[in-house]
Amino acid sequence: MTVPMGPEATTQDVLCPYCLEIITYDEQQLFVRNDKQMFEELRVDRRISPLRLADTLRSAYQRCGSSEGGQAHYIPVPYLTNGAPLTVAMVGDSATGKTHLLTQMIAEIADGGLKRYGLQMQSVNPQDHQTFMSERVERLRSGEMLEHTRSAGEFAAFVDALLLSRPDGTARPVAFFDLAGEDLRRTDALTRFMVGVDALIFVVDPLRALPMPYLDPLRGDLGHTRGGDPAFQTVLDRLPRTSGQYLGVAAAVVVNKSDLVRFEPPVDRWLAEPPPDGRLADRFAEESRDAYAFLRHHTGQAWVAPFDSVLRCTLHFASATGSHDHEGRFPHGTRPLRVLEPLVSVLAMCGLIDDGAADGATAVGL
Amino acid sequence: MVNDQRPASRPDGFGPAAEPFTAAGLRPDGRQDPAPSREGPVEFSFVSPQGVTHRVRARFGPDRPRLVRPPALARPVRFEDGWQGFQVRLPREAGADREAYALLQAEITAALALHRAYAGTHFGGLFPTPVGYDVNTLTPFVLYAVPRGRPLSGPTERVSMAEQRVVERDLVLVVRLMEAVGLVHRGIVPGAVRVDTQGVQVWDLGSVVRAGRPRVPYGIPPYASPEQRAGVGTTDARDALWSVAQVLYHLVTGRPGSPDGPPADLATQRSVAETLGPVFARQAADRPTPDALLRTLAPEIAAEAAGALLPDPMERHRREFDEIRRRKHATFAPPPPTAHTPYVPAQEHLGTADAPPRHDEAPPPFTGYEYPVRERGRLRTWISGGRTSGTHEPGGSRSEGDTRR
Repeated sequence: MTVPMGPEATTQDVLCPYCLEIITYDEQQLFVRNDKQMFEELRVDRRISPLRLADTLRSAYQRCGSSEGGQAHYIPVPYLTNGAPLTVAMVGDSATGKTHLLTQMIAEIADGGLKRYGLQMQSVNPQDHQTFMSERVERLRSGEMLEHTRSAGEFAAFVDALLLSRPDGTARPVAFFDLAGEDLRRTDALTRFMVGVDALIFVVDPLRALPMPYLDPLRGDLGHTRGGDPAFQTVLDRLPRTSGQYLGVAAAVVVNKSDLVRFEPPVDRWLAEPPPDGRLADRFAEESRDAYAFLRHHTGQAWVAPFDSVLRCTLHFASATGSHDHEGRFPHGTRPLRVLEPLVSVLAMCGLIDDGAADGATAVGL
Repeated sequence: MVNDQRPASRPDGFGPAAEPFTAAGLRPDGRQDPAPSREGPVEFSFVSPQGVTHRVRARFGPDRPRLVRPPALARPVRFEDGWQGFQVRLPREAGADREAYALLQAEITAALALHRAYAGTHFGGLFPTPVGYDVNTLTPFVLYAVPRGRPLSGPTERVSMAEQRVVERDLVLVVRLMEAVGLVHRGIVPGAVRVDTQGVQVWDLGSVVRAGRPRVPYGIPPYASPEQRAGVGTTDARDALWSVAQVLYHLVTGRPGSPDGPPADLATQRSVAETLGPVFARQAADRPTPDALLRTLAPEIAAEAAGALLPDPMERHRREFDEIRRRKHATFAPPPPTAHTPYVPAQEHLGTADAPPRHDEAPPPFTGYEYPVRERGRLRTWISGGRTSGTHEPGGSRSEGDTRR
């Protein structure tokens, strides 16, 4: 049996995903959560066996040194000791389906959905991941709608983080942010984390974006608008343009709830398309071309603003639940459709996925 | 009139049921199960192929057995304005059957795609006419106009050569028209082919898939091709041509053909062999294409079929997408090499060796892959997708989109 290496072998400087200050793994700043979910200091006893130490550290957190003066925040130790972290944020106004989409993405990863791309998954923090699985994934799969994401107040925390390991053994933590739509429109410190985020998944809601009259009975309080999603523009405006005219972040635009327009061309083709096998760049470019044309044909330019602004950006059709709810429930459970492809796309852009084809995954989004 | 483009009712065999209609009570939201109950018409809503939601009162007849693949059910429907058609639906208890749900969705997808492409052309009558659908209900359904004619699976009478040629031409035309919109019918069997004096109408659109998808075992011999039954390779319009040849052979001889290749007596069945002989090839790649076959059967119709599709209104936006992509590529593409480099005398020969370096040169073009100096002096190349060299440390790999500095 291999004895896990201690964290001292992989210490590195990474950005705190919250305050964007540099943080380095420091054994003197460790905490664990107690039974009351309060953080309490952890004294590492170096005399215990490496196996036990590794297990202890897997559930430990480190307090960010920049917490002074602001809200204290804690980073899971595996996030700091497993290669360059990657942060992914969902972007879209309230009720666009961000939470359902992210939940189904993580559910499919937990089911081994990334194995076909050579990635193995482990949680960054077992307790947090278990909470996510029980409070979100299992509820949604049983047909229960998840409530709207509450405002984060003054501090945005990631909702779950996973360690994704490549076949060569290298692992990278991937953390997922899912803020309420109204929070994404804020321009204060709450959304500062966006400046350092690696990948954005813009979620287009057909009930707002598309004019089809048969969607009218389903819109509820949502109105159709050609003006785009205000959260898109706020986030795009917030990101730094370090050089050139395009943003350097990896991005995917998802026409979520595509089941509502499943019989419209070219949605009818793509929703039934199986996951890509190799040649990711070509496949995503083909889908992006169709999705762009679909959005531009039916909506205003603002809905494709991420593609205009971001250098590497793909567009996708997906549905987190596969059907519209009936009085807040999905009586036959949920049938997620193509929810993993947008994430696969940004992971490929960020170098986590290599499909082996020359100019394949590395060219995704170009 | 509920739907301006709704076809007139043609109650040949699908008219009012002999038994009294049964109907459900009114549903307040109109999106509930329009299942029959004891009295009165059912009020329900559906979306027309034009994308308009309609709300109607209608009576349903009893379920008709063996019209559609179980667990789907089919029954006649009559709206209060007198229009008649029939409904294919999944019963509530089959709602959790994902395969059945997917088949019904595939059926509606195919019906609408063919309707969009060919309604209003000479070819519209070859396919079922969808009138409406609703899949956001506990019993998803699709409504069709009444089918034409009678199925070929019924009592067989001897067909004339002229009738045989019409069926042959229409079935090949159906395969050709479906190919033009990227679809393959895997279920062309005598029971799915209806014929009347106007020609053929092909049903069982739940068996339609997109061309180029991995084949899965599907269909019954001899009508399903050997490759289709085995589930090898990818779906091909020529899969459906095999089925057409088998249906014609059955129509002419009254018996099923060989499931694995040309029937043993094909040479004696000259009316089939002379037009469809090559279509009995065991592998799709060895069969003629639908277009080539149709050109031999009916050149004028083949030419008309080739021009039947209207231009895709989204195509200009696809070109717009290409143009934006081109502009993005231009920001990081190296400048094209000059074809000829003119001779320039060396600077020192002109006595300018001490001239200061020029500062008016344009900076190199932005490539999208610029990274500031990174810790530990790692080098990175864009072609490697952001992988770094010279390190085996975890974290030695960072992404192109990685904005961490």
